[in-house]
Amino acid sequence: MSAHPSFEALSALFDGEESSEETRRHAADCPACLLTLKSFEEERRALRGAWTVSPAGEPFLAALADAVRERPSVLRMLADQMRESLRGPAPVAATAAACLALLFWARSSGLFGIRVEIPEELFVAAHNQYELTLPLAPKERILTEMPRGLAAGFDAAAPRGSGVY
Amino acid sequence: MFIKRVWRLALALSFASPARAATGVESLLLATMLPPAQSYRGTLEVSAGGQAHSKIVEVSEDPGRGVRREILDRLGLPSVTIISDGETEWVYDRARSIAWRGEPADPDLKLLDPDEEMDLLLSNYEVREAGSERIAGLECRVLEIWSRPGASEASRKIRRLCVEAESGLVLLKVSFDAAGERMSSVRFLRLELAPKLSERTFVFRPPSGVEIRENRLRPDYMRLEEAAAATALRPRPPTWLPSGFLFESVNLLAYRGTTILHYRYSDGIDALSVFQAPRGTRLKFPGDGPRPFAVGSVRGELALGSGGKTLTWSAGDRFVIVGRVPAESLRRIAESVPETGPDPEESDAGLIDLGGVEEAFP
Repeated sequence: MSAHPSFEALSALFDGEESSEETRRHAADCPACLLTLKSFEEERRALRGAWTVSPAGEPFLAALADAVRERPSVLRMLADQMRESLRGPAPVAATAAACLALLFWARSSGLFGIRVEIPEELFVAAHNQYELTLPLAPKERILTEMPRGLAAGFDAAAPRGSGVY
Repeated sequence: MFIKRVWRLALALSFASPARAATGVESLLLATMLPPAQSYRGTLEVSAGGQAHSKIVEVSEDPGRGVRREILDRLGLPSVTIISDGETEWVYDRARSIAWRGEPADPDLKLLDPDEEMDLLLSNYEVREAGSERIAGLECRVLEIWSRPGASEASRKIRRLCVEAESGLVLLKVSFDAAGERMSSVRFLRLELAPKLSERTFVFRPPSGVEIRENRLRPDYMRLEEAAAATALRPRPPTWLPSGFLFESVNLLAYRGTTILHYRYSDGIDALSVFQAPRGTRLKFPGDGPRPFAVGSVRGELALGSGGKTLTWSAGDRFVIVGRVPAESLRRIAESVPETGPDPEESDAGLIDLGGVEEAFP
């Protein structure tokens, strides 16, 4: 096993928090750690647009739909509350209270914990990669599935090729 | 390199005690695991259960130089080319105009030694000779691999191999499922031994305009405590496994800043993978998607794919299992995942008594 810094150490380095000189030196020269740091940058860019409807937002919306399906009574309760509040003398305050309740409910349902959605093909590709090391592995059968797994992710763009094939 | 592994295994078998001396059948099985003694070129038909059409693969291999595979489309034209020289592997997908560069799967780095792996295979399976057959115009000896009978399960056929005795090449490899049905097969339709292969056969130069990507699937083979030290995830490997499976190693995967633990298990023939991802991770299934599958009181999802079955559920962290074991075994594995993980320093995950065989991990 190579002596890579831990995920947390790389995260601290990326966030500009205090890091050891050894971590900084290793990360500057290690291709694997540089790729991890690059993925942090991509994640940061994706999170900047989190409130627009984007691929980063889709997991959140899907989870919201799931949570509503599981707890429809909560949504009905909130809808009733909002209707009542609009009839009364303080519709703004009541609406704000309803929104706060929705926020607390969403947090308790784990909606704000959505990190990332991973294609199933990646897990299968990693499994197949290991299966190839078994002595009687049906290599050709596994290898015919390889491009689908590679296309799903676990990769990074590099310079385009040139030359004659 | 793989060559070192199988030569060590061959040496171990040749110097084994009389009680453990390799039988003729085991020697033939070992021969199928050795690199080919000579170059060859051929055409293979690859079929997997559920697929309407089989795939045709052109293969050329020269020991010491490399191996090249061309997967053909229905028109007989190369759609995917895979070239490996033992250190670098290229996968070129013409339709996507992408070429991935990576490292070939290397069993040399595994934590299980070749003799331990062979012992595991022979402890779980019985190898029988089953006559001869003619494949691609060549006479072959047939080996069948059967599971050993258990308390509640009869012995069943797992693999059928047709081995060309002179070269050790497996000209037909058939896998069977739990019901004894043919699950997949790889068969040589045409084979030429010791052809003249040019140097360019094993060299890949990306065509102009093709996007090059790095294949980040570079498996590492770590012990549990090493993996635990490299991530904030508290490892929670399952405490129950189907009979015969042994924990082999852990790998770390990264996807958009998310670290995933990949626990790998083997019974000598089949692989089983359990993945642990941080809380809040979701799985995106292609096509029709999965069907609901209960894991204790939690709603999981189960799908059938090329790797076998994929089961996913959330138990705080996100867990995924990929393998070819029955669905009920997947459920039992899933339900055995502990609430919290063991202390990796004191964990004995990976130690299984194989009845006389030394423990795989000290």
